[in-house]
Amino acid sequence: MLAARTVVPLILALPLLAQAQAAAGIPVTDPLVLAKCGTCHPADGRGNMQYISSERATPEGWEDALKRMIRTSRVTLTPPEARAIVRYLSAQHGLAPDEAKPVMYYAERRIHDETGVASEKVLDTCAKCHSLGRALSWRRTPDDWKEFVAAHAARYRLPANPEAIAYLSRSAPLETPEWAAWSTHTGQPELTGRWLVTAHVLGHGKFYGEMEVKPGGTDGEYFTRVVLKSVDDGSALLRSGHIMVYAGYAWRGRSQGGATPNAPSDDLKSEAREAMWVSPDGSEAEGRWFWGQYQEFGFDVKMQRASSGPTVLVVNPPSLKAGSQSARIRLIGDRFPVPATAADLVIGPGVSVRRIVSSTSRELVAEVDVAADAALGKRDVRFGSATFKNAVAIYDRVDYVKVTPESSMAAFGDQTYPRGYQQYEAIGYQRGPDGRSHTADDVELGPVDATWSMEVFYDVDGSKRDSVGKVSPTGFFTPAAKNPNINSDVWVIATANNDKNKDGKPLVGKGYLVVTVPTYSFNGLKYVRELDRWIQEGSDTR
Amino acid sequence: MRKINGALLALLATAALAIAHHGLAAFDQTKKITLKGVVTEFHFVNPHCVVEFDVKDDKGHVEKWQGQMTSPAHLKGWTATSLEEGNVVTVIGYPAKSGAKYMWITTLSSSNGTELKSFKGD
Repeated sequence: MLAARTVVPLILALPLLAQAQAAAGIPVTDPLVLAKCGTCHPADGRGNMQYISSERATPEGWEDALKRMIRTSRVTLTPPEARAIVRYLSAQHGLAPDEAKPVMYYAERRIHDETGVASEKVLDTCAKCHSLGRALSWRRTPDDWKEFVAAHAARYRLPANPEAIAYLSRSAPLETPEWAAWSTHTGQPELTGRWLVTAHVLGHGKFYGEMEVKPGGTDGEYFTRVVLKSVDDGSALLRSGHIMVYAGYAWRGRSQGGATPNAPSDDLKSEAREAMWVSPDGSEAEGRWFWGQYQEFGFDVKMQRASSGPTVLVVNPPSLKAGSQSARIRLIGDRFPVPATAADLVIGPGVSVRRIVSSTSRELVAEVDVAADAALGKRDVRFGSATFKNAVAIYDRVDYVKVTPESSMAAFGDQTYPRGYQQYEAIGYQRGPDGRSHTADDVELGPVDATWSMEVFYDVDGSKRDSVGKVSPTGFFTPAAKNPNINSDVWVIATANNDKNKDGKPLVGKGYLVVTVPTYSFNGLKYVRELDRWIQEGSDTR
Repeated sequence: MRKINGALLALLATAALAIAHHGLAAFDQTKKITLKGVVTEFHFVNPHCVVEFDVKDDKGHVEKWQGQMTSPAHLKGWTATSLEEGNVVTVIGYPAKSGAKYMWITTLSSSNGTELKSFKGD
């Protein structure tokens, strides 16, 4: 199946390779894989297929490999066959949950900072064209990594980097204790039932709700129905989905929210792809539901199985100012004790519950007093027998404003691709005990009211600064309708409306935005996106 | 279709921000300027780190400058606090062709001991 990266000299060396791989490998037993891939990837006497048996990958990894085989090796498959192959390989030649979790950002299509993951040379080798997470979504034998890097270098006309081979062999080996443990795991977790969901959407705040998961037609296949409510305004979203859980933990699928054909790109009812990591015990899941030109829109989702006891899902607001009196705090969750008393709610020393304003089995509103000398920082909120860790921050000032995402991109459109947008939020922070900004002990306080603006600070000749786009009063960046065919670097600036620095001036935060051209080629190769959908949802035709 | 460097492709294709994304076309590489100023903000972010600093001219007027550097991955040992508000920095680099108070920093030394030595581009 992976013949595209097989160069002619390697074919002559097949017997030697087969011997080398006999020592390690995962035998292939699936008749469909043997039939569709066996022509180019012969199996040895132990059932080890060339390359395939010396590799493991996430569902995205195997899907990418399959797409490459379809494009370059003229493999003919129906979509159900493609799905079955991805499913088999993801389970039998997959990653253990603990191996997959660190690279979930790739499956979730997140803008992710990979600084500090690998050396500069390794990043230069791998991450100039794709995230390192893409490479680390695979596991291979040392020989396979060596051949892979050599073939990759030949295909993209890059130098083969021995340091990258050593790094990948060390960081992503075929045989690991995690895989040894997980590969003996049998059966899928049973996800059917009621789940409690929280989500965050940039620019739209927090959501909470419930998901009903029902079994689909095959093992690991499910239908979902979720109702999400906005914490801010109570508006509701209903989404229905169809998902597959690969390898017992990799939740992948699509959901529809009922968006109309002409709905704006950021409509929360838009169809979304779902990529989530289900905990090995099947009790929790987290991930992202995303859409957009470059998957810039999305729900950051956490789910937990509904239990028979009380659960706190959301505490709002996420921060309380020291010295405040009769501040209202709202808890949203499930199976709250009714009626609640002030004694049921505990927010730690220095925060006293003055009274319960309202109480239902799903929501509680209380008034609290926060002592002027209450300890600063995050603290747990306990309600009855339920505890929400680090639920609320006590603070006495906002020290700085961070614009999130700190690094981002947007794209001009053309006849083929729509524009790529970017939503921002302004988040307040208080410095931690070290007294310095932008360190690990800083305390996030939640969104702050801000006025948005932008400044183009880099483009090639400084002549097209008026043609980049605009940021709305809600922090939503829209690229200009006309593609100026240049890349520009932009500060997206949030000026706090209420929070000031020590000199009495409004706090200002900046996010780095790259606004770029709509489509790309790299060394003559164009990235193919359309095959994603073909494999995942195509009909039973060739 | 426009052909650009691979780093920017990475931003689009894989949603990862790891390395610098543009060259030095906007900067005049035939000239080098040296400035001394006080840091007002440091952005340790991809795709390029940026330091903002105030420079006083001969008459005491404050000019606000920005200096762009390479990516965090290439600034070995640096962190988000390698430069902080109030640090005095001396920077050498290429000025913007447009005349904007913007430059590509090749060399930097800070009163807090942080140094960047002879880094040209990405």
